[in-house]
Amino acid sequence: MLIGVSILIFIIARIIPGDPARMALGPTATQEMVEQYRDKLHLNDPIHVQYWFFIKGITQGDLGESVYTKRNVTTDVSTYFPATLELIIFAALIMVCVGVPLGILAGRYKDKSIDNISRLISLLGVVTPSFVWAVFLMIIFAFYLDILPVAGRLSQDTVAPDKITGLIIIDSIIRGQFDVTIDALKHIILPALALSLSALGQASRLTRSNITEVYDKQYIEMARAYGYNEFKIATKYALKPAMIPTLTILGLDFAAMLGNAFLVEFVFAWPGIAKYGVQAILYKDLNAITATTMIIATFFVITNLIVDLVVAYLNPKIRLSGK
Amino acid sequence: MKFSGGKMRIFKINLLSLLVTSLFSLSLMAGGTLRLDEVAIGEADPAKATDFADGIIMENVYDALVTEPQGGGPVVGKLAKDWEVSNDGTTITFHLHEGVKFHSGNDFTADDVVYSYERLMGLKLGWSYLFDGWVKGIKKIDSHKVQFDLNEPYAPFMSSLVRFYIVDSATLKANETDGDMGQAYLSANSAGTGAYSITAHDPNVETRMAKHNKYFLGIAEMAPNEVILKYNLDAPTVRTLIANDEHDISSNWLPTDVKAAIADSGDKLAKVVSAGGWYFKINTTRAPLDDVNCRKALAYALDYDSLVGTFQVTDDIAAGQKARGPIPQGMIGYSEDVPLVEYNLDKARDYLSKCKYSGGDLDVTINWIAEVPFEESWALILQQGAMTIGYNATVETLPWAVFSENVTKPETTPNISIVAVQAQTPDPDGLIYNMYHSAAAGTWQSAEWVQDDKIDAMLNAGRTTIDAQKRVEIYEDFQQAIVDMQPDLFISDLVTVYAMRDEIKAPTLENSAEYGFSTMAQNFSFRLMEVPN
Amino acid sequence: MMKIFKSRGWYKFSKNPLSVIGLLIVSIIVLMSIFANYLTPFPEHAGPFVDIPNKIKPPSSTYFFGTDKIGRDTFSRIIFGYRTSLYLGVIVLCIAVPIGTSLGLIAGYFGGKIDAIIMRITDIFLSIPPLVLALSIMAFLKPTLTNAMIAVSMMWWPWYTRLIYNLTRSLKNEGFVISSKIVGASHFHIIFREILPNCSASLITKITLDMGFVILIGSSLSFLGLGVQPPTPDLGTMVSQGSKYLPDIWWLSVFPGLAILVIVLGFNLLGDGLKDLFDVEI
Repeated sequence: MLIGVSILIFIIARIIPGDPARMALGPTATQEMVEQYRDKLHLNDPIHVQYWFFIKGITQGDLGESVYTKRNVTTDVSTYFPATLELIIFAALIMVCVGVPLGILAGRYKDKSIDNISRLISLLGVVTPSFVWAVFLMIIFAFYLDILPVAGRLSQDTVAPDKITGLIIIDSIIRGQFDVTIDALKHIILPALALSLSALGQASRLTRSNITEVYDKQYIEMARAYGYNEFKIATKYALKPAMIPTLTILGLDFAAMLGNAFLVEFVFAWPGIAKYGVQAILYKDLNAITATTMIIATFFVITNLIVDLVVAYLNPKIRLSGK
Repeated sequence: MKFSGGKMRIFKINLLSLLVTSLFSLSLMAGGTLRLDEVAIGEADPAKATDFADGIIMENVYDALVTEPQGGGPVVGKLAKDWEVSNDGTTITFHLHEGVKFHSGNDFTADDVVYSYERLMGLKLGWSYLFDGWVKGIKKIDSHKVQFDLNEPYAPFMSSLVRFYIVDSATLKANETDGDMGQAYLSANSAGTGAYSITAHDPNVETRMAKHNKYFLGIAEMAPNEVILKYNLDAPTVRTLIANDEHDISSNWLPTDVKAAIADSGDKLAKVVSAGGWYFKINTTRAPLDDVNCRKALAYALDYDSLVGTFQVTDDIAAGQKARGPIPQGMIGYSEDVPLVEYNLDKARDYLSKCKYSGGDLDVTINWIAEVPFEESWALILQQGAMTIGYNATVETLPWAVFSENVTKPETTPNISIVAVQAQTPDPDGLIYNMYHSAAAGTWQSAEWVQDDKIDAMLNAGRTTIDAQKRVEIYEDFQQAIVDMQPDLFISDLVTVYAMRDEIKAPTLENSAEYGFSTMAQNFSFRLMEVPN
Repeated sequence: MMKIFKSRGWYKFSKNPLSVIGLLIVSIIVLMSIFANYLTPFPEHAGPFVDIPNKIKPPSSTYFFGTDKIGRDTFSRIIFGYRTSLYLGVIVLCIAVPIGTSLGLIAGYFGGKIDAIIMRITDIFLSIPPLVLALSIMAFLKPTLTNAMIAVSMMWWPWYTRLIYNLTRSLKNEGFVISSKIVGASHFHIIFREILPNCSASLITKITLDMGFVILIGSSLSFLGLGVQPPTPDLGTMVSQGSKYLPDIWWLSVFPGLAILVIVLGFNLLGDGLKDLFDVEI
C-alpha cells in the first residue's frame, strides 16, 4: 500500500507544471545552468528511472536534495517532523481529554439540556475551520490578553535542549530543564488547541452516539436493577464497549490532524513538516513533496496499526479469533 | 470609527512585561536583540543566494570587493582599497585592504578572492551568470593584489561585483565534504568578513546572527548583539508581535492597512526606494496588444489616482511613486524629460480608434500573481478602465509556478501580467537587459517579448561603452524608446515600506534617501542600527 | 405540502429543536443565495468593481459588514459567497457520490478480485490526508472554481465507496436479495433496484452532513489561495485575505468566518436530524 501511495505521489509531483530546476535557480540563470542542475536531479531521465533512483535513495536513508531549501530532504524532515509530531500529540491529548468526557456526558443524558449544550459545543468545533480557530485564538490570547506567545516553539532566549527525541517538551523533562518545559508548553497550547477543536467536536459526537447505543443495551438495565450506582455502571459497563468503535475513529482523526496541521502551523509560525510540505508544493520541490507525503501516509498506516492492536487488546472477541 | 492601537495597549493585561522587567536589571552599553522577518527561504551560501532575504544575510555576513556608495553613483571600494583599469577596459587590478579578519580569525588575502570566484563559477548557481561569458580569468598578483581579465569591455562589470561575496578559503577547505566546496558547512555556518556571523540557520524558519567584534569597518555601539531573521510570519502574527514588543522590523509584504494600524498605535514606518518597479507587462506578440495604439489606449485608460490610492499607507507615506518608464528615479538613464502619462479617457479612445483591432477582437486577460494579493486591486482598476473604453477585459490569477512556466512561450504568455522587477545590480543594465533584450526573452521578467533590433543594439552599446557620459545618453534614449513603444504600463517605482518598533533606530531605513538604493539590501546593515537592550 | 408537516416523520424530526434550526438555516441561506441579486444592497460588488475612496470602512448602516481593501461591501459579497459555496458543494457531491457509490456497490456485490482492486485503490486515496491530496492536484491545475471542484471530488468519492461497500456487503446476504437472485434477476437489477434503494437513507443523511464539510474543505483550499478565482466572492478566500488585516480590521475575516460557521452548522444540524429520523449509522 505504501508503494501505491509512493507511485501515485511520485507521478502527481512530476506532472505539476513548472521546471523545478528553473524555479530553484531563479529567472536569470542561463539555460546551461538549468540543464546542469536538471542532470543533477535526474530530471532528464525517463520517469521509471527517476523512480528507481528515488527508491534506491530511500533504502540508503537518502531522500534527495530539496530544491527549495537546497539541503538534503532527510535533514529537513528530521528537523521539521518532530515539531509537528509534538503538536499533534498534544492536540490529540486535548481531543481525548475533553472530547471524550463531553461525549460521555451527552450520551448519558441524551436529549437533556446538557446533551444539547454539549452537542452545540462539539458542533461549533466541527464546523469552524481550524484556520479560523487559529486566528481567533491568537488575537484573543496573544493580542488582547497578551498572556501567551504567538510564534514558534520556544522564546527567543530559551535554548532548546540537546536533541534526544526532537520533542522539546519530552527532551527538556528528560534533561531536567523544567523552565524550558514550561516555555515550550506555553508556546504549544494555542496551536494545539486550534488544531484539536475540530477533532474534539468529532470525538465527542462519536462518543455520544456509541454511549447512547450501549445505554440502550439490556445489560445496563440489568446492572441498574442490581442497584449498582451510576458511576460504576458508567465506568465499568458502558465505557469499555463504547470505547472500541470510538477508538478506531479517533485513530483516524489523529492521523488526519497531520493533514490539517499546516493551516495552523502557518498561522503560528510553527516550524513543522506540514508547512514545509506546502512550501514544497508551491516551489515544485519534487523530492520534498514525495518525502512529506510518504511520511504522512506512513504515519497514517502506523497509527491505524496501533489502533488495531489496542482494539484487539480491549476486545476479547477479536483477540480470541486471532485476527 | 478607527481602532486606535494606542488605546488598546492600555487595556492589555501585560503580565509578561512585568515579570521581565523585574527579572532583568537595566543592562550595560550594548545593543539588544534585533528581530525581523522576510519571506522564506533564507539562503546562507553566498554562491547560491539571490533573493531579497538572502541579500539581507549577505549584506551583513559577507563583504564584496566593492559596494554601492551612500547616495548612489558609481561603486566604491569595500574589501578592495582601489583598482586600476587597463586602457582597453579588459584588465582590472584590485588592491585589497590589509588586516581584514574573517569570522574564523583568518586574515583576508588574494587567495580568498581567487577561491571565492572559482567556487562561484564551479557551483554555477546564484549570481554566477553575471560573470559567465564575460570574465576570462582571475589571478593572484601578490598576497593583497588580484587581477580580473575580461573577454571584452563590459561596463556593468564593476556593478556586478557588488554581488561577488568573498568567502574564507582556509575554513571552507578544512570543512569540505566529498568535494562539495564547503556547501554542507555553509548551509548552517558562515565564513565571511562581515559584521555578523551566523550562529544558527534554518532556511525555512530563522537565521540567527551574532556580532563579529573584529569587523574592519567598525560597528555602532548600540548595534544589535544578536539578530534573528525569521521567515514567513503571518501578517497578524507580525502585528501582534510588534504590539507586544517582541518583534522589531516587519517585511515589506504586510498589507498597507496593517502597516497603517501599526503606525497608528505608536510605532513607526520607514520608506525605502528600491531600484526597480511594478509593471503591467504586455505581451507584444499577441493580438490585440501587438498594435502599439491598442497599448497606448490602455495606458491612458488606467486610473492612476486610484492606483496611487492603493499605495497610500498614511497621509505622508505612500508605498509607491509614479513611474515615468522602466528606469526608476535615481538610476542612470532616468530623465524628467519623459512626461508622466495621465488618466485621459478621450486620449485613450482616440488611440483605440487608430488601433487595427476593434469590437470583438478586443479581448484581453489581465493576470495577477496569486501569492501577491494586493495585485488584485491593480488588475481590477485596469479592468475597469479597459472596459470603459471598449475592451472586453477579464481578470485571472495564476500561482507563481504556473505563471513562470507560461511565460516561456509567447503564445502562452498572458496578455497582461503584473510583476515587480528589482535590479540585480545598481547599474541600469542589471534591470532592463533582462526585461527587453531579445536574448533574455522567455522569463517572467521579459513577459513583454520585445524582439526589437534597435532596442537590442542600445542594450548592447550600454554594456560595451565604457565612457560614463555616453552611457547616460544611451540609457536616456532607451527610456524614451521604450515609453514610445509602450510594452508595459508603468505602475510605480519599487518602493518598500517597513513597519518598525518605535524604540529601534535604523537610519539606513528611516533616512533611506541618503543611503542609496537597497539593491543589495544595504539598508539592512545591522551594524548601523541601534537596538536598546 | 401541509401533509408533510402532519406526517409522523415530521413529528419525529421536529421533536428536536436543533434539527429544525438546521432546516431553517439551510432554507434561508439557499433562498438568499438564489435571490442574491435582489436581496443585497450592492449586487455589483460581486463582480469587477473598485472604489478606492471607500476602502476599509468599518461596519455602518450603509455597509452592514464594512468594506474591503478595494471598497466592496462585505455583506453583499458574503451572500454571493454562499452562492459559490453551495454551487461547489452541489457539484462536488454530484461527481463524488455517483462514482463512490457505484464503485462501492460493485466491490461489495461482486467481491473477489474486483473487490480487492477497488478497495485497495480506495485505501490508497484514503491514506493521503484529504487536504494534501487536493493540494497536490491543485498544484498542477489552474486555481479556478471548476478545478477546485475536481480536486475536492477526487478526494471525496472514497468515503462513499467505503460506506456503500459496507452496506452492500451486509445487504447482499439479506433474504430479499437472495430471493431475487433465485428468481433470476440480473445483477444490474439487484444492484440498482434492490440494494441501492436500501442504501438511500444512509446516502441522503451522509450527503447532507457532507455538504457542510465539502464547503469547509473548499474554503480551506481558498484559504491557501487555491480555490475560487477572484473577483468571484468566496467565503474561504475572504477569511484568508481578511485575516491578514487582523486584529485592527476585524470585519473582513470575522463576518465571512461566521458565515462559514453558520452554513456548515446548518447542514450538520439538518443531517443529524435526518440521521435520527432514518435511524441510520454513518
